[in-house]
Amino acid sequence: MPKRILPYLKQCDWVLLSLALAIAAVGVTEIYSATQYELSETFYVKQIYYIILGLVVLALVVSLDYRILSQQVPYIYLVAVLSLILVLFIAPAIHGTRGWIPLGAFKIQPAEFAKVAIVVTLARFLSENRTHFLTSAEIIKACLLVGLPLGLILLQPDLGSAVTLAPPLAVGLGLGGLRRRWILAAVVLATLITAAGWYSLKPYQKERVYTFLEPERDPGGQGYQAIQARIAMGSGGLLGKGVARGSQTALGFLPERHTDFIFSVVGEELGFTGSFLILGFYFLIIMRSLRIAQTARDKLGVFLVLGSVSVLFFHILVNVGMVVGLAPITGIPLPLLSYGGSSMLTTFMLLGLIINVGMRRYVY
Amino acid sequence: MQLRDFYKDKETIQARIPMLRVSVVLGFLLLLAGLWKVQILRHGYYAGRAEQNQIRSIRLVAPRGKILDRYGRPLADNRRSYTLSVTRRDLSELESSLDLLAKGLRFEPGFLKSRIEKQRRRPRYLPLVLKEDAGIGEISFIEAHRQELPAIQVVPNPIRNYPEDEVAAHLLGYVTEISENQLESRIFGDTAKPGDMVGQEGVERVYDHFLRGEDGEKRVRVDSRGREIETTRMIPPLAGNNLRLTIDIDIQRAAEKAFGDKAGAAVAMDPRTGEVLCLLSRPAFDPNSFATRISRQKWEQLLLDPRKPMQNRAIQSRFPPGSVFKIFLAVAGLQEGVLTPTHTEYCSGGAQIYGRRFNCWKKEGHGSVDLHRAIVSSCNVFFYRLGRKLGIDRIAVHAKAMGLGYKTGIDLLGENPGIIPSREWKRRIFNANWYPGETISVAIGQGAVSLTPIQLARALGGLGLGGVYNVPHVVPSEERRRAGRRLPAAFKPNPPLEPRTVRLVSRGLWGVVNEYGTGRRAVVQGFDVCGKTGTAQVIRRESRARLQSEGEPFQDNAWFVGFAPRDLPEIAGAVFVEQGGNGGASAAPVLQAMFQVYFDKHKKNQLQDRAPSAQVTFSLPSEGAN
Repeated sequence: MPKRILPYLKQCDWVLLSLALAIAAVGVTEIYSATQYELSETFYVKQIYYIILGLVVLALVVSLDYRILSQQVPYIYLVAVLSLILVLFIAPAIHGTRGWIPLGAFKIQPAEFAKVAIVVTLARFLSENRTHFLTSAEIIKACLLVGLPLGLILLQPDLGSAVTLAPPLAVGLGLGGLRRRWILAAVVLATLITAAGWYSLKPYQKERVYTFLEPERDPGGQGYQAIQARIAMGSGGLLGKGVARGSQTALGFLPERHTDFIFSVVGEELGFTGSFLILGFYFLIIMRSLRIAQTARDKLGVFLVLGSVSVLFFHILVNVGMVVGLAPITGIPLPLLSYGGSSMLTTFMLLGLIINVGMRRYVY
Repeated sequence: MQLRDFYKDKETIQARIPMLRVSVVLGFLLLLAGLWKVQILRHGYYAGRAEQNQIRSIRLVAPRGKILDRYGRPLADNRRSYTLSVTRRDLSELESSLDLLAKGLRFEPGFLKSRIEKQRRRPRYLPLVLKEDAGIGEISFIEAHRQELPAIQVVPNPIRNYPEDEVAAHLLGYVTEISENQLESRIFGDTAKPGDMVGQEGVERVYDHFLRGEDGEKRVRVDSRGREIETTRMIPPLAGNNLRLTIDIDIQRAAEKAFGDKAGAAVAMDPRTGEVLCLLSRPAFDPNSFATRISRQKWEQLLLDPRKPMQNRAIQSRFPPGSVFKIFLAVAGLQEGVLTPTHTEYCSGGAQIYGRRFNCWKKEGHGSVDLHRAIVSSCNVFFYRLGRKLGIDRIAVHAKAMGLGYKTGIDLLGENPGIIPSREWKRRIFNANWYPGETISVAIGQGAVSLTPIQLARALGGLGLGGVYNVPHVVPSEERRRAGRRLPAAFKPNPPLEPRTVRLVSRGLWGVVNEYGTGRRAVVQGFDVCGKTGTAQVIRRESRARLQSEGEPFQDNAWFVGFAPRDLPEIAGAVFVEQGGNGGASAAPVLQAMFQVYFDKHKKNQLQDRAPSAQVTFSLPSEGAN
């Protein structure tokens, strides 16, 4: 066995893994900084545990050939859907939403793990297609596969997490063989859904959109977070104020500063230089992953990598966009940087899938 | 063929990946542009906004619940005060103006610096305290110098106040900031935070969870000059619950006054319910001195004081009971049937027992004494012989049946169980055999026997009631239930007291106070007080004689225990005076003072309607009796 493991280890994308760990290390530092005036809870220590746990999970995902892994897809999908149903019944409502299953000292967020389930399910489904173009039946089936967990997450309600399930579907269908008229239809449908959706949005959700368009219209309430995040970022300047020196961070004006708004803490304390570097690391991770997709040895591999990449990229785009004012405020964490166990484990699972495919591209 | 298609299919997909690359690059460029705009182009604007964006969190300390006496008069409440503090973050701003501040607050130069230094190890989110209990002058100084001292906060902070000062200090306890050990061990529950003031000792400690409120928080936006612009968050503090005690402050005050400045303890309780009416220990401390941060020096002084002012002698200390213990010997003798009311002994001033001479306190002897006379005149010889007849184990059985040698279960901490010796006890503790001679010492309350004032108060009241031993408590049962605290079950006497025993011993104790006995200074006119004096040797008579010849004023410990009225007692008490000398002279007046106040309050009016009972006065002198 050890003889057979060695070539795999050589093929493992250590650069990708190192980039991810570098980001996670910055995350731990900034979580410490953001919570140093908090009551006794030591978030940064917990985050270190989550990273270690994440590495263990990554090792597990990587060790198993992804083709064998894909045989388990029906079970993975079933577990994901069942846990999303379960969360609606047993999770306690926090601020009116139910997303967390308390499990001893930990809280598990099934919506996070659903992202991985959707990526592998779609990859298996699309890779089994032998024709050049997808039939309409197959497209509808794919939509339903994504639609079920998405709907369940909307019931929590957690619009932000629900939306993150869409990118793998879009990328998968887009590259998996969609005729031009289907793409056209999708655009039209999306416009209609957006329009119809607007009327079905809850008032607080509408308020978020208004606030995004014009944050100063309600500086005390909804726009508060957006403005404060930008003040923190902007006051960081070119070089930042230094780790644990951010005055805005320390003020505690941002309720989610160690989770969803961690990037504004990075911006304040490490400046444009720091946030640029972090963004660069993310960029490299995604470009390397796309290269892996390019060289993957089968369709299943390509879809696994592209699905994973689409989820990660979407998170980065929306979260950083939210902090700099390019996207509305949604409760979407920044992979590797935000505090949280479920998000950390999910990210490492996705990275594991990418590395898994990359490792086995030459091996038959 | 199928295989080739498969590859072709894969390659067509991969051919589309560059398209994805382009969109990723575009996405990142967009984010980069956003970063550039916020962090570089608009840096000046946001830096200015950050400058005005100082949010301060002010802890609104919740007032503790009041502690009231049984009639609702305050024993502990809170007074308004203001604390001057600065948050850790604003400390750097303050450094340049420390000298000005020290001058304004009339501190020695350098004092503030060392005070801040001392607080470095406290959790970072707690503000640094510069001055507690600031006066009007100091507050107006801060307000007048806002320009130079923007970071100083003036925070309202209710301080625990004990209007009676030292009165009932041990019973009430005191409050201090929670210690690191207490935080870690979570003895104050999971909600306790660093900086919380918590009860230490006494009622403050035992009922802390009930008395302590919930702190609130006020978040204010302040400008760079420290002026409050708006309140962004306001959680009002939740005051703690008031707690009513069973204590009667009038009785307590009377006892404290009668006690003078001697060391010792006094307890009075209602034996019918177990409600403690008065509980004092001397020397006392002023609980007010702990409410603001006590200086280390002052604290050590209190701890190291050889007079042990922090010790609650009423429940936490045990002392040899002296002649008080004769009561329990009489009970044991009657219960065991070795003693009849008509049985007499001859006292010649001493007796030869087990080949050793044991003296009576009265050198010339009491002559022929029966049980009643033995109790009233406290004849040692009578009880030496009774003790020899009973043996130590039978004495122990009956003393323990009256709750002696056990904790009473009072709702205060650190209670001492006392010691009722027995053969088994000596083997367990010293791994030695019991010598019959020791029994003779125990018979008059010397030797190994050692009891607490609260135990004796309960035992006396229990005896008067015919064997009912309620658990003494300082919080009435309905209040206790609200506070979620339970008492242990009432003590079940085994074997139970026979009515004849109760009648005979009570009559003897009545005689001590109302006939020719040693306790006449405990008389309350119209209230049939029963009692017994005790004088316990602390050191051997020979050493005492030596000390006294050397001019050392050394005296025995004095006791007086009792209950009233004789039939169905309503109040029972125990008084212990360290080096009080003669129990009848120093301890009896304290019990008298407590009983008199009770009597004036509850019985006087009742009795006025009744014809005055025939008064019998005995004039047999018994000076120097113990």
